[in-house]
Amino acid sequence: MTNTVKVGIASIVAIIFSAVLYLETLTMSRAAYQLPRILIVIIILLAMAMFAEEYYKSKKKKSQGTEEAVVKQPEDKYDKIHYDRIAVFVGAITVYIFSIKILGYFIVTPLFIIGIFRYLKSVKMTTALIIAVGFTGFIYMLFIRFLHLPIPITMF
Amino acid sequence: MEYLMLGLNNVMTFMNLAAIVVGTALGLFVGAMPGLSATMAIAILLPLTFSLPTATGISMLASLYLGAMYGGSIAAILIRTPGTPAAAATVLDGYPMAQQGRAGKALGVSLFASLVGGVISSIALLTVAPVLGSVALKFGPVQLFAVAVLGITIIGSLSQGSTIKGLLSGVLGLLLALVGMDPVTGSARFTFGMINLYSGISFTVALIGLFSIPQAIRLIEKDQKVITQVNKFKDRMLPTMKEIKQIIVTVIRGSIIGIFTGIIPGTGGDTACWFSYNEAKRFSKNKANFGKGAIEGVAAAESANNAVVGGALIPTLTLGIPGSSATAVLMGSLMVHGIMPGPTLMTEYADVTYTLIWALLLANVALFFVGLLFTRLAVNVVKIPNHVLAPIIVILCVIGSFAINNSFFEVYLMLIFGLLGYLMDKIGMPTAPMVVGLILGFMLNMSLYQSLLIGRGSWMIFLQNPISAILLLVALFSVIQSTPLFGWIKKKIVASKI
Repeated sequence: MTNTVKVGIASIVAIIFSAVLYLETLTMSRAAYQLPRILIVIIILLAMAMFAEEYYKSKKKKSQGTEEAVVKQPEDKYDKIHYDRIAVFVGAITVYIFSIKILGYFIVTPLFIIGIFRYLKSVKMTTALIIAVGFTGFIYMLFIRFLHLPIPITMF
Repeated sequence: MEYLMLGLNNVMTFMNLAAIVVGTALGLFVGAMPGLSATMAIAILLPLTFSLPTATGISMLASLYLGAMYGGSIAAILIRTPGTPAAAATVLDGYPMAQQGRAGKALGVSLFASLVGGVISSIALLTVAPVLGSVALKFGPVQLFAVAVLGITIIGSLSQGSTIKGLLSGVLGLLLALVGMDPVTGSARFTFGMINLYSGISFTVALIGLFSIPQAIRLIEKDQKVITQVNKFKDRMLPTMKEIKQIIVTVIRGSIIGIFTGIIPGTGGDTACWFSYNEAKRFSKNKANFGKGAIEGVAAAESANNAVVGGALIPTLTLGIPGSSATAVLMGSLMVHGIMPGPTLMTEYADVTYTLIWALLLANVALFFVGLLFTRLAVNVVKIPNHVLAPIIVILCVIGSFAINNSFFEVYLMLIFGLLGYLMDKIGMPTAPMVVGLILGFMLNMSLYQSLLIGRGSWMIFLQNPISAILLLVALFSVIQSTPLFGWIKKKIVASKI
């Protein structure tokens, strides 16, 4: 996906978001909607300007012979972005957040750490276990015992 | 003077001094980890200060910021990867020094330059802030509205990359700050019937999400480079008197550059270190040595990035406009403790504000000793793989955002902001202006309402007042100067002169 397309999608999303919020202002009193409406108009203008700027830049690049559409090969293997990995990681975070509410901190946190470490093959299983248990315990001690702050221990 | 002594008295308690030492040590270790920024470190560790007294919590975070600035140089010198963006210029001479077997010297020079830069900027903060603060105290709603507009336009237009994207991010932040109960009319705005949104979007949640989750995703999106070679250092860290004489002018120059760069909202340590490095090279008699292991190169970059801390706090504490994303997070920590940023910080909350300033000054001294003690230990942190850090960051974000209100709603909101921050990053839109928008939104809303009330509904009130008119003009100029229109006007003027 080229930058122009990405920015174009972002501009459309910003405009739709602004339109939804504008509709919300229809039920507000004048004093309450004054500033939001001004900001909404500015957002719509800036979103359009953002797309125009990106389009102009890509046109300029094309005319200079460095077509943006040509997908550049990464310089080395460390520059390649793994989108599948991002999707799995974001999915794991979402599952972690929703399951911590049901199963509680002590069960889900070590599982999340071990799961991610194994998926990314970042450390050996024993190291993953030690880090998972050690970090889970450390956070518990820090938040509950030392700082007296709440953590989602269990919902049972 | 009374407040100055009060602040000094406050900071000299065991609890606060311990917080300063712990903060600098934590900052040093986090800063040493490649890929983790000082801003993220403050954002992620902010929840730890919830249960601490305000002065202690804020002292710890300010010390952490300072420690992270120095910590960034450890990875830069030893593995040629800056621990923080502010240490980017340190690589140029720090790494060659390490390869020549002078890693200890490079780190010692970095520590000394950080100490001098930090102390000079803290003194500047201690002297300039009260003066500016007393001027800002005379500001009414009309001027405060102009200050808020100026803050958002400057940080938007000076953000790296596109001004339009910076401004859009800032205005989105302003709009998000309006979610919840309107303090003027008492009616709900953009809550969509959700009871949790009536109290507004928690600023802390937004900044934890915006600064930490994108960082965690970035750490795993690429294959990790295995750090096999870390330059060892066995040589002495402390610079000799001869070396101090050699670098002192560069360090003072770098400190001044750092202070002024810090004052300008939107610019931070990453800009200051390059600016200072280039100036050091320009003034040097041995320009050829730069890039090959010149201690002046390390001194210039490190004095400037630590001096930024004090400089950036000047507009933050006097006007309520954060000078950098890290100071925006520091401001957020004040808000967590019920202190509203703005000109009243220097009077109404003078005890906390002056404690913070003194804490910053003392943190520089603490950093020097913590650095001498722990730098050798921090070398091990440099080797921690990015993929190991990513889930750890996520857990700290989740637990931290839950701790704010003992509620899962904040955790969901944090994740939404995190994903938004990552997507913004992918299209080159900076997140710092959005955070500043979230801070300034309340001030903008209240001052607009009050100003229009004073002006009987007329918007001309903002142009009738000279201070607000000038501030708004500067805001307009800051936007125009970064657009193609300015370049076109400049070209026309040059052409007409020829």
